[in-house]
Amino acid sequence: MESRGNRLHSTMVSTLLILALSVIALAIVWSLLVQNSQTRTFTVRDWEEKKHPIDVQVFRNLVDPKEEHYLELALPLDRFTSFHRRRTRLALRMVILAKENAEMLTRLAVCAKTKNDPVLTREAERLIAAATLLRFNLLLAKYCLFIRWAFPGSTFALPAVEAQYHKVIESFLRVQQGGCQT
Amino acid sequence: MIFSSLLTHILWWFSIALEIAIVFGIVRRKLLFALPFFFSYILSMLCRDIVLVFIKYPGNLYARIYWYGEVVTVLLALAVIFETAKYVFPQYPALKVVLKVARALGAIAGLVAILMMLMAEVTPEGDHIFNLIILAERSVKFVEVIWLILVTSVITYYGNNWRQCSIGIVAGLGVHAALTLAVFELRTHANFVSDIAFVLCNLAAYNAAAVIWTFFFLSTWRSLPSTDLPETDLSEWNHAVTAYTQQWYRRY
Repeated sequence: MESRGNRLHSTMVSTLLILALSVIALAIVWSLLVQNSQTRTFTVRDWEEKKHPIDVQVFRNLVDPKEEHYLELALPLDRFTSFHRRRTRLALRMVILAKENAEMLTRLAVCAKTKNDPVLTREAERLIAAATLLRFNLLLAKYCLFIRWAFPGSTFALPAVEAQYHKVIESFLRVQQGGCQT
Repeated sequence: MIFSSLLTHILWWFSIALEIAIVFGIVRRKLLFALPFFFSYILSMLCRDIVLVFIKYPGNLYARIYWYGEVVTVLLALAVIFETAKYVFPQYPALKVVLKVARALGAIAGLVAILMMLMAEVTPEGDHIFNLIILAERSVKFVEVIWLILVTSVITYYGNNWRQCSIGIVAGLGVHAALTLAVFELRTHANFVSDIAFVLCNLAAYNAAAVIWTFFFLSTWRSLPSTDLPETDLSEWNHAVTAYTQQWYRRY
């Protein structure tokens, strides 16, 4: 009786798993169709209209540790904290806008690849690789900025995993630039 | 009953028409040698479907042709998955080795399956062998669904072009597999589907896959408006963001 119950239980579980997998697969195909119908209409004109005009020099200034140190010495603690958090929020906003720019450039490059022009395709793949690398870096920067906002003026340090991180990024970019199609 | 019989015939003939269109599309686009396994898969399905039209159902001959055809198409479907891998993923040496090993294992599995099929004819354990074949078919369909999810994730995340015949093949196989697996589970373990509905759903699922393949092989993709790429400052942004994050690392 107990073994029959166990068999029934495992059968139900496998049935539910397979049904869930089937639904996920069909949903993915549907979203792929919808997503790529959007890709089809993205042009340089759309990029010029929708891009966020952010200046990388402003970002550099907002996260400059020398600037931060100067403000810490020049301002009283409460004013420094509030000013520092405002700068961090602005840097975070820039990171979000830079990520959106990178996503739009990826869509544009994917469109360019459909032209079957080898030169354009190579340029598009380089653009996709650069945009993807930026998205990775922006993700990390976002978490660093969250910590910076939460603990203004503190000197946190993270373990140096950058060697492995850069290896992962490099192999990821090789995969992207090595894509082929039929 | 009459309606379901009519619908079955309509779906059967519609799938034959789609298969002919797909074969025509593959030949026209000269993809015969680029996609030999998929071409063989479609051709074998087409031949089996046409032959079964002229054979009386039910009957021993009908069952034999159906099951032999089923073994062949399941093996070819597995081969098609490996075939699409070389177009979806870049050709690293390590990946080539993996694909060669997988193809060898697949070929061995194919020989074993054919042997099992022949044994089913001559031994008392025939039913058990047929159950194993059905299990193998379901396993391959499971792999097709996982493959669809994996390939879609890859092309979406890496920004690859989805307008490739190999992507269409994967999508068709995955949709067919997802629908047939779901219907099988609903019939066998949940008893939600009657025998007639089971047959119709399987036919409809295959037709859905055939429609996807026909779309990919017969479409001539319209050229998009001229898309030159703009100048960007991505590398400057990468330097700036990397310089910022590197401040956070303690060097050992």
